[in-house]
Amino acid sequence: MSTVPESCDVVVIGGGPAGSLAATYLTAKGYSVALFERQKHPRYQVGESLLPDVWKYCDAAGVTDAIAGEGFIRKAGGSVDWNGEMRRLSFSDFGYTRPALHVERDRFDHILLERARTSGAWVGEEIAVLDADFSRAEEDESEVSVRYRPVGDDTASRIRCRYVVDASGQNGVLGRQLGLRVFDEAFRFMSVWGYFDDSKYLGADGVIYPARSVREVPPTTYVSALPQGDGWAWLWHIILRQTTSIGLVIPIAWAQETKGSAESWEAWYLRQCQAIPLLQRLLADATFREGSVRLVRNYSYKSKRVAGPGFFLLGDAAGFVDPIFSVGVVFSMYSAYAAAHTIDRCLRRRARRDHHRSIFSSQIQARLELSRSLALPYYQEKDAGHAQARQAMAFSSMQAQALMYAASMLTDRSGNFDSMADSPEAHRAATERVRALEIPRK
Amino acid sequence: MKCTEEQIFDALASFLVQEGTGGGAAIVVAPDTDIIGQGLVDSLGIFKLIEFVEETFAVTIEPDEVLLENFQTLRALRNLIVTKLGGTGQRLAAR
Repeated sequence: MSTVPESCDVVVIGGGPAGSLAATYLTAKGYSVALFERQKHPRYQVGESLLPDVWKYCDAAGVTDAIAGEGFIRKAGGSVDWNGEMRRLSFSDFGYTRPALHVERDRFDHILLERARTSGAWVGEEIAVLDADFSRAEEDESEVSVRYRPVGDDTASRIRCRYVVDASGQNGVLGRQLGLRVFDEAFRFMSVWGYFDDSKYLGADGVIYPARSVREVPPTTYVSALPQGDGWAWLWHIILRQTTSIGLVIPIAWAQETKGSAESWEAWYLRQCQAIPLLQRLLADATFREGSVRLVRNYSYKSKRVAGPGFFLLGDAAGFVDPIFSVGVVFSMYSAYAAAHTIDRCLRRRARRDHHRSIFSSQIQARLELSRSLALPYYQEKDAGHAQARQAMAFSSMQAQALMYAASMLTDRSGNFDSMADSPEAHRAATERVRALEIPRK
Repeated sequence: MKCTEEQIFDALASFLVQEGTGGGAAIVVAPDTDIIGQGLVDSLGIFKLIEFVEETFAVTIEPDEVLLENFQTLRALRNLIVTKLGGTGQRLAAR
């Protein structure tokens, strides 16, 4: 690894999709970028289901061929078992011509990070960013000083830059430093997940296929409500090339009630997986990967501010909601694009940077509120974010609205959608395209 | 900047044809085409469109003006620009 530069235009914290794409977009605009990644890629990451929208961001980053050439699993859509009703949607029915994917995130994220490197960004792995000094941010000679430390080193050093992009994910380096993160009381959830090899899967026709067919018969992401969860708790089943990711999203209170004090999370997780008949059938010949169980508490949060003098928050560093609609990676990529665009405008027209930043903030917060409002598990009194969510919904294409409505309908959340949209057209399109499935008997 | 409503419309329309999600595909934008619902301007395009309007017409679009009623059609957007330019002409009546 070459020496860390002393200064650059933009420091990016984090080498996940948000950070790598922000670095790539900014170098394409001619800025010098230093990206710091705490870990060494390829590294593990959950969140393997990607919507077709990721492609436009890959196009803009010039990384489409590399992603397409990797041969990730192309998925047809979703199969959803919710309170006794089994239904499915296919992206192609909604006019999407490019595939959704099931990806190993270590590989996917590594490709994006390599793209940032070849685009000309300086990329340093195994370097942790500690904090940033914004006391001289956006003065005439705008200067932010970022403190970093190579993993395993005792001494910290500094790099000067004009802007910092925080794409540090759940760690939220700047969110923590600046006290921006607010945990979301409406989502008192946790998630527990693990991996099984040789799980069967559901095709778009509702038939169960063995793992070896996954290249010939595209899989769906299988989502099911959990029986005791009042429709709030759910599971995902995402088949990958070598293994299958299976996760539970559950109210914290329910987990506490059902987990014996002597029971490990792994034992509890395996017990829950056995309690769902269809999942049990998919797992009939599968092998659990020992030691693969992980969990996250404090599941959902947003940020009081997503930008300020000298900084922008992206992706999971800006906010995170229940991942039921798989919007996380798309949001990360979107916020990377928005930040690169905004930083470019701020550096070209410094006198107007407050204005440019305010457009970024309102667009990003509205998009986060939309994701949050769609994912809410039960009806909420309209809160402060509701108007923003409505606005983001209004700016969505009819195609996107129809897909959102269909996904909401499948998971018994159409009330959320209805509170944000007056869109009979999306209703009609979604209703026509969602198909009932019989729960496979064999 | 002095410009007629027709010039404003033409500038917006040619920007959309070049930069819109149509990606160079033959798209036709009429004054009342729903550029949002049809996906000609998506969540990325809105940033580019705001920049184009601000730079081309030397106006400021405030965050709370980024509303569907101002951006759904080029007629609406043109009317917003005309208002910001101090009403260089009369608003076009709906055809």
